[in-house]
Amino acid sequence: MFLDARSIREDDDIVADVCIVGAGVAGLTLAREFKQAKFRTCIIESGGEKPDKPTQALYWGENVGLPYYPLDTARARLLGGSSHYWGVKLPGKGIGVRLRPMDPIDFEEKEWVPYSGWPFQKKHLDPYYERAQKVCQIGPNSYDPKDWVQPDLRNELPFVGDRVQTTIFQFGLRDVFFKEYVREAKQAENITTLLHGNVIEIETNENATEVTRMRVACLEGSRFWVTAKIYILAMGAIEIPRLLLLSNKTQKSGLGNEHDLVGRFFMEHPHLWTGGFIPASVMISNSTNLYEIFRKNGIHAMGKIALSESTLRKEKMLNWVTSIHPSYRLSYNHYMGHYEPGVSAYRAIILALKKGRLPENIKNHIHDALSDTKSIFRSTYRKIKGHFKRDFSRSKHITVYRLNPMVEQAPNPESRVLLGTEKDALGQQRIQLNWQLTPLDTYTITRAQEILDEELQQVGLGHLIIETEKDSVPSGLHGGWHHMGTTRMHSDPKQGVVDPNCRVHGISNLYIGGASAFPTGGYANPVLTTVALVLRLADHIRKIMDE
Amino acid sequence: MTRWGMVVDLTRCIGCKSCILACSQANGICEGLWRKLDGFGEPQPPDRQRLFVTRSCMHCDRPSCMSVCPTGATYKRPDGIVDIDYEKCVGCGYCIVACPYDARVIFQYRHCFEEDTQQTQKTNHKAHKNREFVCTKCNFCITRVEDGLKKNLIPGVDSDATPCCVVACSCDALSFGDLDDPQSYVSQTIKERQTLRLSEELDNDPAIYYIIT
Repeated sequence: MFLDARSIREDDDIVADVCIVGAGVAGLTLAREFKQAKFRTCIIESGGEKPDKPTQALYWGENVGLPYYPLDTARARLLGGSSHYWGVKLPGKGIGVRLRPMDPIDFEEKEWVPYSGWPFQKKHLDPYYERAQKVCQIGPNSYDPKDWVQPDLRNELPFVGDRVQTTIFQFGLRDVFFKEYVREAKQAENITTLLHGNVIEIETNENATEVTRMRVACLEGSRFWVTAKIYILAMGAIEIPRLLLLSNKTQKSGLGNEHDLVGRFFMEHPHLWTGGFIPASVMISNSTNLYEIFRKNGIHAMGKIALSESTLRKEKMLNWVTSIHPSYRLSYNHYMGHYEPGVSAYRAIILALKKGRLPENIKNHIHDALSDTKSIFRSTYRKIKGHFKRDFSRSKHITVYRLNPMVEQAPNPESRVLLGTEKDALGQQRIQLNWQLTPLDTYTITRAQEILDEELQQVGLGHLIIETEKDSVPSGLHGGWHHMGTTRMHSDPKQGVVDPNCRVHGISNLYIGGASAFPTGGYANPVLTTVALVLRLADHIRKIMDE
Repeated sequence: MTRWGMVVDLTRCIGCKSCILACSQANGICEGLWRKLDGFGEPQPPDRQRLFVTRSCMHCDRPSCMSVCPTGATYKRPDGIVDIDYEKCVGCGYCIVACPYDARVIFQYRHCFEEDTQQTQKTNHKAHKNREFVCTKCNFCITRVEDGLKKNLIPGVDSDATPCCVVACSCDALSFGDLDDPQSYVSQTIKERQTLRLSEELDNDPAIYYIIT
């Protein structure tokens, strides 16, 4: 049942057994798990069935670290949450999201990655991943490329050795959450969803060991309370620490923040469009169908290139994966010989002369130009041929691929969510996001490309153009709207905000559902792991309620 | 008579670009070529409300593009949709200059590829041959609308007869329908809500209405 929170009278107290804050992917997954339960669930959602500007503007915050998306455009504040923003085009099906479990190594404590490791191994989460596949309505829990290749149509690139491997992502439809599961929540008799209600404070007992109730405010209307036995925060890795930090009446530094951990360790998956993969031949270029979005048995999937676990251990790197995308611009440059040593040198000389100076390393450039005159003549011929771009277009020479790496971010306490000074329409302090990377992050981005380049050359598949450097943040680096880590999980209260059951340390009835509990994030999009973790939490809550 | 038109409720648009993705997917073009999303800088305090404007061809009743077309390639259909006959278009670009809404583009093969987005499909070059180097733009997914009408579906009501961008909008910010039908949702909305059209002073009589408050 949906109820407009604006119709609730001032200081009324809504009573339920379980209170979920947020009706996004995590909140809706929890609600589905509870819809057959004997206990009553109350979901508090800031938005409504459709978006509105004043509510969406509550997300606005300041980016004070690395360039990041405007925070009010990074999440959708309405039923369905971030699923409204999922944006991968699935041929013949609609719009969806990448899904993949994290790798076993992502759960391990790695001595070369400070603060890394989950309190349990991946195999513990595997049964929940199985269920998460069903929740996301995708295919079998198989990400082995051998299950997805199709001889003569979709083959793996023939890497030898164990440094580089092909990996698989599946895709799920976004409508599943904001249509189907919203409808289920609406129809569930034991679930009341309060729309347009914003939790502004978590009230606890004197010792902050138990949540007593939550204060809810509407933009237009009253302020009231919701009381429950168990409270679950499921508003994403930016709003959860915000609410905990704002709830500071009993714990002055914020609820659950005794050890100054709430909001720290903000992680993204650094994304980048960089470099290029130049296949050694058109034959190789034409055999990359596995690395496009394809459909098998009704399931959309896509191959990507990743580093093997042994490589990560040997090189002491973070996890890394890249997709490859046919590029018109790079293919045109390749067609015009821009990557040939002769043409490259010739272009450098001409460019410098146009600026009225001689190029650096002029001797090398002249040597390269003279020793590779063939490519210069070929390029010149193609250029003076006239209408060369049109000629290129019609030649269908799309043979070069742009890389789109997605990288694990090392947990970093200085990468964090803070409270700013500006207040929102409800009088709550807005967010400051200070997204920061470590040297290990930037090292991984470049070193991974070097390893892939070595492997490609070794087996004669081609080579890479590498544009990044190991010791600097590449220009154009961006996030993937993957917010993680700000209430990290750890058995030790001094090292984590929540315990292995996702319960906030020291508070008996406050839980956190979602990616903010991830201690490390791997490279995989966080949705599937979020759903798996939330399913595990739902089992735990059901068990408590049964008792 | 029928005049197809659209109402865009900007109070509901969160800039998710679903409409752009759907347009790109349905028409085999890169994102933002026919349907665009404009932002208007950083929202100011205290309310910090961000405005997005999604736009494409306005399907004007008196289209500037049509009057300058030297070959008659651009034409207005009886149902108000402004379309282009690719066989007649010579790609001179006059219409691109004349259009006040930046809605038109000379199509090139490179427009099938996207730099820095998630486009992954290699496209069949021949599939675009008839529109290469001629002017292209949004045509309200004319094939969907016509096919839907043949099946007795109602454009704007039945998703199979409605432009892809409207169907993809999860926030219901876009609606489509017959402006000449007083009972249609778009007509009712225009009647009940305060709407405006972009650059109305040019007297082009566009068929896209915007709700901003």
